[in-house]
Amino acid sequence: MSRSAAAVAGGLALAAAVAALPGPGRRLAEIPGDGPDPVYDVRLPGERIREVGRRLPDDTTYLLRAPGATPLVAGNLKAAGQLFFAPALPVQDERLARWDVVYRDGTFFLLPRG
Amino acid sequence: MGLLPGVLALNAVFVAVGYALLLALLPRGAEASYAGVALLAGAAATGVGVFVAAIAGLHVGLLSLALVAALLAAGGIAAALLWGRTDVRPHRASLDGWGAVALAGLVCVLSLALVGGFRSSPWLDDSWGIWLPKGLALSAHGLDERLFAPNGSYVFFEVPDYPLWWSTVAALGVRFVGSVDARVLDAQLAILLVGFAGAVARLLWGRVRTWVLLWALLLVVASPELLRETQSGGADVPLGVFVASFALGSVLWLASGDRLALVFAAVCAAGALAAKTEGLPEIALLFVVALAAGWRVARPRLPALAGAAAAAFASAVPWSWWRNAHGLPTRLPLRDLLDVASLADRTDRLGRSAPALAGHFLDPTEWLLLVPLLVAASVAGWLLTRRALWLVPTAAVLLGYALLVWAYWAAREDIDYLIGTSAYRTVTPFTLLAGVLLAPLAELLLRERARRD
Repeated sequence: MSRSAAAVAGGLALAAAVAALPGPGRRLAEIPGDGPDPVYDVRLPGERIREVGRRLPDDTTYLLRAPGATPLVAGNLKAAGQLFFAPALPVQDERLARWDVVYRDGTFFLLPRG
Repeated sequence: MGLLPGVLALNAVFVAVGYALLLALLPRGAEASYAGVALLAGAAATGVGVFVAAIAGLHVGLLSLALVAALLAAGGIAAALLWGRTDVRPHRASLDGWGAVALAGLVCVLSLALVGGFRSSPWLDDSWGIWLPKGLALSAHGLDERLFAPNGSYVFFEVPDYPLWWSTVAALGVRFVGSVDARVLDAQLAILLVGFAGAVARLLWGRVRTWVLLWALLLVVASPELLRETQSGGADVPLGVFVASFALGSVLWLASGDRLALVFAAVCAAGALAAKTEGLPEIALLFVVALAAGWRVARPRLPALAGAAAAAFASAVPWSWWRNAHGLPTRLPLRDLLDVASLADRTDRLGRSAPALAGHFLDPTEWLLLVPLLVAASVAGWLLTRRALWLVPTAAVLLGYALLVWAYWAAREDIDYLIGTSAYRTVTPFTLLAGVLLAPLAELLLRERARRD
């Protein structure tokens, strides 16, 4: 075995050993790992957000409202909408909205307009 | 496709495009060792190309990717057919014992980072709050002014002046994966980190003794802050990788006339310009430093370097045009940077930003000893030879530091907030710059000492 191959094999073996033990190596390898959702700054129902995204038609517009929510929650919801409600377009001007997406007390309500 | 095959397939496209682009300049018989160079070149060029296609009206997706990849590859292959393949021989060196130990360390750290990249969801909220949503919008609607320019009707994206290379690459990753998965960002960052290490190792292989090269590289990739940022999902690592690669390519061109390094520098500069707004002043600064340093020692090679930089800056023109056409506000306008009266009124910001940034540059728990070692090697070389050229790497890092201090000074946001949320990552391009220049500088120092002994 060449020196390079031995070094690579040694490095891989070392990585496997380090990942198996608690410590920085295990943290670097993210064991246990995260899911596909963002690490929101606040607790949000990830699966429910995806479900709303599936139910919203592609070619539509929505107004996201979160009455009583803190700015942090509202900001996270806005980003979540841009991630999972796309290609539906988020609007500021409610006259353009065909759907209301309302988040209240940890629950989403999807309401068609007009 | 799923996360792993999807991200790997996208990067296979990048590598293929990179190889095709560089085909005329790749030394025969050593092509495989240039995979890291090909990956960075392909990722930069393809990402910039698809971003420009989006400005031209296409959606970011498989069609625009196929179109851009085919155009770039065809250009590279045509150049190889027209001018032929280079007859330059690859630099070769055998791995010594200490080099093998460092290589094992590198493989260990990078494989952990790679596994972690595919398993982690980004910790930086900008990544899933700005970069990825912008990419998804580019994919679904193209560069639609309802979303990308401030207006009162639609919810538009924050920091609208930021270029969109990273969003473009993220969107392509999501298209390959087949679903919105935030881990795409970290997986891509981890692959870019591995590509960066491979590119630096290849470009310096045979020019720097292997133990020096690999230990210096280990110091770079084992930097805790680099590894942390690789799981941030943000664009700071790609920006840093491209800025440092531009600098390394420029140095190799000026020092040895390596044409592949020159093209690599140009493509990486284009990537940096399209990654973040900071890319423009940072590439411009390093270009000026390279011109000044090369003026006495490599003047005949300066026009080609200027051409490479001009080509890179030209790639940023479409975005600049779109921004101006849509009146996008710039976060830090030039007039603020040059407003002497305003700057003089706010000198207290200097007292906050200068030590904070210096702390991030020098903190061994963030970037180990990359910057202090570079400065030490630089000063030692100067003391030995009294040639000012030795001080150029240190000057480049110091000027980078000064540029950042100036930007924080001139910015309008609350200084404590700004420092707390960004200073740890805005230093990344210059700490990586110190990292990639450390090995060649140490090699020159060792040669100088040997010559004197």
